[in-house]
Amino acid sequence: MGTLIQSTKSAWLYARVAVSLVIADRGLLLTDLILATATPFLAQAVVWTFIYNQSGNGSIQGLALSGTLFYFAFAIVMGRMNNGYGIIEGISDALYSGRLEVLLIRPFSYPMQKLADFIGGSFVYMLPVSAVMIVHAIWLKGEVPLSDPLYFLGVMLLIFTSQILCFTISFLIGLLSFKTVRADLVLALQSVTSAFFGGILLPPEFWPQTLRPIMEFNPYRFMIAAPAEVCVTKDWQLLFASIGYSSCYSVLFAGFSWLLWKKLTKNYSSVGG
Amino acid sequence: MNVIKINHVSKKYATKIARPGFGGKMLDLVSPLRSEVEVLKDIQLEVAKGECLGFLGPNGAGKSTLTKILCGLQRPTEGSVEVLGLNPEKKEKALYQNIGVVFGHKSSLWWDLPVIESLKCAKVVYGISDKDFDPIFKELTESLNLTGILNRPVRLLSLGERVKAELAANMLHKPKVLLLDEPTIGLDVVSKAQLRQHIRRWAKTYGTAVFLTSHDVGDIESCCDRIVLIDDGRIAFNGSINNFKSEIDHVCIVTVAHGSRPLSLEEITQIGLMSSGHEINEKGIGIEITLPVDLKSNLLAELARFSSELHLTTRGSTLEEGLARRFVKK
Repeated sequence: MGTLIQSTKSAWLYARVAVSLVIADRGLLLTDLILATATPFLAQAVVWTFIYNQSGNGSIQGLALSGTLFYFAFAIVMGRMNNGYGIIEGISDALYSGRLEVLLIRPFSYPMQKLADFIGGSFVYMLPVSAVMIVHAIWLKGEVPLSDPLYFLGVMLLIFTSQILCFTISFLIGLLSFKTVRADLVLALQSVTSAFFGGILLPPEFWPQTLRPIMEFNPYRFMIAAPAEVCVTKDWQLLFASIGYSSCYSVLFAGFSWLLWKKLTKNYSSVGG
Repeated sequence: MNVIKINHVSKKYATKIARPGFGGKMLDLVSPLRSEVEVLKDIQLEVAKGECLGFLGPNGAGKSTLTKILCGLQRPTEGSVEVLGLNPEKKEKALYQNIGVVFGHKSSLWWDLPVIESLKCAKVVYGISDKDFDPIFKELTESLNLTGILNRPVRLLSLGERVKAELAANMLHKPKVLLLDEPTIGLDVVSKAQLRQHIRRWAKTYGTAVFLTSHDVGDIESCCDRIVLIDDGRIAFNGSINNFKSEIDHVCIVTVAHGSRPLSLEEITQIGLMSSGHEINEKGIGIEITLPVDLKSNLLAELARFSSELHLTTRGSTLEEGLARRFVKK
């Protein structure tokens, strides 16, 4: 019991430190919260306004322009929050510099350090998510799915499970750094797959029929697109399914990560002293 | 009571050998070449509670490897290790809770946050109570002269300040075993002196066993009760510093100069030094001859016969010279 309390305290501490580090880096805050969020949204808004105007219909694939734009707003902010880039880069840097060794000899395990660090760092990214939720509610004069308290709690749970899923996938990908000299390729792979499979580039409604079965059940969807979809459209079924799938995927990836972590650290040694 | 027990430990590494050239790189992808290097060979060692052991050896001798084995970062190929009665291979929390490890050239501190944040984090991670934390924090920050830099981000610290902060972060939980891998590397004389004094006092006050690897003989002389020399993976010497000094005292160094000018090669040959088999090195305007103590009087007599204008000084071998000779001999 004492160990659990100490681990919880340590996790809380690492999460708090992660928030301090994000806030301390004003440049990162400006880039991540404003530029990296606003720019893709503006680009999507311009493109989709043009497409809707050209089609002459009020809706495409059952979505009105405002619905599509709010989907993108949610997907983009979710994509910023559930971004495993830092996890992969952190593992790679620690390996490359040999710093991993000093992090491994703490009474609080390294994977848990990274998890707490990721959850803590993500806390700041809840601000733009909340901002989009507020704008969405104002735009629709309160008639939004999230006005139902139970549904809101469900969405919050999904956001949390999506974070765990993002961590487990990214940690597993990060472990590839043990076998690569530089993590650039791994990082590029993570960025592209999460943007494409996560639904930041195209909402699930627009995915080609032939690819749908793969796209609908790919884990990145439950990290980014699914939380965005349930925020825009009240869909209990999708909400429950997404929580279930993201939890199952998290357990699966955590299992793989654990096995791989044990194997890799068993033979790991940085060069020299 | 022995807190570290190293039983017949050997460690082999399988390393990849890169073939030269583009063709070689391509071939490496298909069929990599591997070779095995034995870094440690049958190491048998114990460290008692409160003892400060210096582990010395040339680059690549296996000092850091043994440190990593002791904290569970690496596993021995043969033999076993016990630290505080636990097997480090199992990476148990109980072990990490009771050891402190400092790698002189690697930092566990948060780069962008003030030093005090990292120290307070150690409090939480090691589960130190407020009652225990406050006096030890005060003692460490004062002893290591960290008070003035506590609110400075780690990235703005000098190397010496960073290492001292690192040491403090690893001592806050009063570890029973302290593993220090080249803690004074790159430090100035003042920082080195502070660090050495602190480690020595700490080991005596709290009964902490210190396992210190270093290239700096000053570290060993200032901190350690016993030294272990490792060479070519094997223990070459294991005993007190005094014992080691008495071993190297069999050698003395005679410095010879000719007024304000160096001795010429011709003169050295004439004296018969070239053929004497003694080690001869240039030193300033003179030469230094290293030879066994019992041959000293003969040499001095010969030199006096050669010229009365020679300036002769004799001294014993320093610990550093003794070590260097020992490693070069191999």
